[in-house]
Amino acid sequence: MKSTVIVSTGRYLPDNIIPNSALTQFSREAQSLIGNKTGVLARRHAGENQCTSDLALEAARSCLGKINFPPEDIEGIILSTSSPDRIQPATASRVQHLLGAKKAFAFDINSVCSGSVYGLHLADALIKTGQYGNILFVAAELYSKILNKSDFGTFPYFGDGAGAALLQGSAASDRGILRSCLATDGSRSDTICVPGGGTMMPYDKITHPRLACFRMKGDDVFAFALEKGPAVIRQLLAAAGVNLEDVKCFICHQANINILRGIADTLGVPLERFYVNLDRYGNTASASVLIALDEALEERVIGEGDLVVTAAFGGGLSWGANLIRI
Amino acid sequence: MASTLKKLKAGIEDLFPEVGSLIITGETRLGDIPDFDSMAAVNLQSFIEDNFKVAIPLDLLGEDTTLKDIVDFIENPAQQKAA
Repeated sequence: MKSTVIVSTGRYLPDNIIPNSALTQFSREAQSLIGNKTGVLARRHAGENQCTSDLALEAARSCLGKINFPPEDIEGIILSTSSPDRIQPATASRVQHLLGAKKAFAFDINSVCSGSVYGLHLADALIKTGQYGNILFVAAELYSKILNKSDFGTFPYFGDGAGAALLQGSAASDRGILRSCLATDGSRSDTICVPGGGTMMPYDKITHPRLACFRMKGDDVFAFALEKGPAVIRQLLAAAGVNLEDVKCFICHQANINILRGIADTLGVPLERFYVNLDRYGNTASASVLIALDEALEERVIGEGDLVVTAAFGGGLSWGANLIRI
Repeated sequence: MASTLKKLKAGIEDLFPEVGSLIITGETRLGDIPDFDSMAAVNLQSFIEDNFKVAIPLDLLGEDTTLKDIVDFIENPAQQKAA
């Protein structure tokens, strides 16, 4: 069977850097808590005139530009986002147009913060049908425009950004996406959500502006991530017949340094083998794994032949992991 | 006291829509309010600063703090800090 290899990656972080001290809607006492509670010291915010597809486009160009891959040769675009340009059409469709990827189909997926691992598995599966030679997978999030600026439980922790990966079919069987595990617990779908704006609560039924903003039950999410993160990584490695010691780097969703520390401790793996950039970018939802993957490659933390685990957990509730040989 | 409590109560009902059928009085503890946690305490702190122009430290917004405690602080912040 063909394998699916990641031939290039890219990322885009908006220029606007927002340190914790700039969040003046909260007291200085509260600002100092942000870093302690989550490890987030700064985040990026998109410009007023930027929307999610703009971020996705830049990440895509970064990815394709590295290997001079012509956009017109892209066969499919999958875009993961939980902060789309609009409810419809798919944000991916605008990216396809602006990129000039005229041959490509394009659609969105939404598994909130788990979108990266879901998208990698989906792209892998499509390529392995033999019908497509390549797929561009982009994850782009613009949470600064869907958060309640006054809510200390959410606003400080999220940032805007996008990551991209170009996946290609290959005859080599020992490289690429080796295995994926995905899971969902829909009984907890209220734990992380944007209540209003869909058919469950149309705009004319929104009684308070905060109902149009992202919300989450922080303590529940923390416990969920600590439970499912190590479990899905163990499940993935067991299914692939790989030991923890064989994994060069764990690239987990960048939600909270205390979650990453908890996962590392539970697995018995030093935190140093987990890539961390949430201090600089905050939680970029489904974009976090692809942004971190691109950075880890650029910084040579990982390289050709290394085994990498990507893992994520988020709204749904959903969680998953991929085992990748770079 | 009465007007401060009324304004504080309105703010809490706005910040915590899940408060629902809970009857909020001066004796209501913050811990009695559904979904009150350390994050919510910061939101309440911001509300108090914006609406009463009083900076209340977070350690005075614990679960056992009552609304009357908060009103007392708002109306006499210097006295409360000295205490």
